Amino acid sequence: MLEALRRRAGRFGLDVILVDVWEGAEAAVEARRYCEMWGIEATVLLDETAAYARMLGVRGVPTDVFVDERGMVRAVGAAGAQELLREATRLAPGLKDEHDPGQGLGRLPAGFSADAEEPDSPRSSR
Amino acid sequence: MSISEGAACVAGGGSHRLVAEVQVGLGPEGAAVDARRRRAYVTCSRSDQVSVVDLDRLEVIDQVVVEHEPIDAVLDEQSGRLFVCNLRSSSVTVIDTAAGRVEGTVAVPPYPSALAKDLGRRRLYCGCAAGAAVAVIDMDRLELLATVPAEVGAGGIAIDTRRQRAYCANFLSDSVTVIDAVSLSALGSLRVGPSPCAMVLGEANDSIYVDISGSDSVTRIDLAEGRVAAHIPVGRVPVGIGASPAGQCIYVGNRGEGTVSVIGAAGDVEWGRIPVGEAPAGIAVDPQTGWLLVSNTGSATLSVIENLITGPMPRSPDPTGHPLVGRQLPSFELPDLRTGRLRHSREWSERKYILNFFASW
Repeated sequence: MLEALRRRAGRFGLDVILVDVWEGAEAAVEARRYCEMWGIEATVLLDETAAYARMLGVRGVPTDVFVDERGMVRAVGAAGAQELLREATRLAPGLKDEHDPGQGLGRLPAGFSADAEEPDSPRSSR
Repeated sequence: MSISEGAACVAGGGSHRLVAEVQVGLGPEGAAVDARRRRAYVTCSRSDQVSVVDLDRLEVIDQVVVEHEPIDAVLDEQSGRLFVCNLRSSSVTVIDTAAGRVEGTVAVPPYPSALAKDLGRRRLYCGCAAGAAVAVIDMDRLELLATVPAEVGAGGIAIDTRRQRAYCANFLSDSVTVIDAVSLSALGSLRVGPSPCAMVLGEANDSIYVDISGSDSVTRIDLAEGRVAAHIPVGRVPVGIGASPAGQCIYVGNRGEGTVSVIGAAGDVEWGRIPVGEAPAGIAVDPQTGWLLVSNTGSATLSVIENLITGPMPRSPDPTGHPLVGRQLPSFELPDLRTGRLRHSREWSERKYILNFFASW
């Protein structure tokens, strides 16, 4: 979902940057595996000690922080699809009117085999 | 470990008492309790171990090595066996808890994500996400009895022993598969909402509760009527769930915000939230003390909590407000995964952007 949004949002001047936290061990290896699994091409930064997340008061994942062109935080949270799109549209109103072709909005990771939407993490099925 | 005692340690406006914050292995996900022997078992997904916690001393007393990425655990009190599903090994490890060693392993379909036990029939159910199936294991012979087709993302399981049915939440299919526990065949499915995860039986009102992680809510399925009876808003990204011993409270681990929601079973309403560690997941309840044991995947801790919420609590004017909103984003300098180069927030000055904090688990 987020990768699909990133592809659409770029032409409206909205970037999506992923920040990997709390991997526990081998953060780069795990983050790379995750990105390959989900086809994520966005910029991915590593916050291995979670120091930046804690500075921002991030207590869980996924958490989205929406930043405007003045560097001001406009919203924090928004993990669900509707909430994410709503807050993204507040930053980039053009997203609202753009036709969503539905392509690439959801894909399954390697090894999964039905037409379902992309989750935030395959592990969350616990 | 830290242990807090007494009224001075009551935090969160009287919502709870933090009994202890126990450091466990990396990436704790699931938890199971042995009340008689005063032990908790925590699956540590990034250590490939199960941390054994002494519930009286509130400290880790042992680590049992299992296979790759243990996620969930279920204790069989009768045999003293602990069953652990290993996500990336497609297996269930059987631990002899008296001896503290691995007794055997059962192969299951890919991505086993969650477990539940049917004590009457001595069966263990295992939702296998990539296998789109529920594996059923004989808890005594340690053999795979059947593989019941479910849907993609099969995970959280709950058993309705009264009607001899099993329910499996399919995370990637937004559904719950209903299984006949006698014939071990799928009877049908229910649509429940986006990305359903963990489930628990609510004995107080003959229901099953399902985390709906994609819509920040919990769905209650009425078992007598076999239908969705309520959608209950909770905190962000609910992925863990447990019930109080009498079933009057349902506890929900909100991975997206570091809290546990307390739901009153009688009224289908969230009574309040308890702050815990970072990115909480599995919840177990110690039936002897009533304490909640919350696995915090982010902070690699087990929060031991006494719940003090007994009814609806007053809400803040804006429960979704965050102190950062309306303020300048603090600058960052972090390495780029692909290039290793340090990236500074200056690169995005005068740009609009979303920072998405995530973990691969």
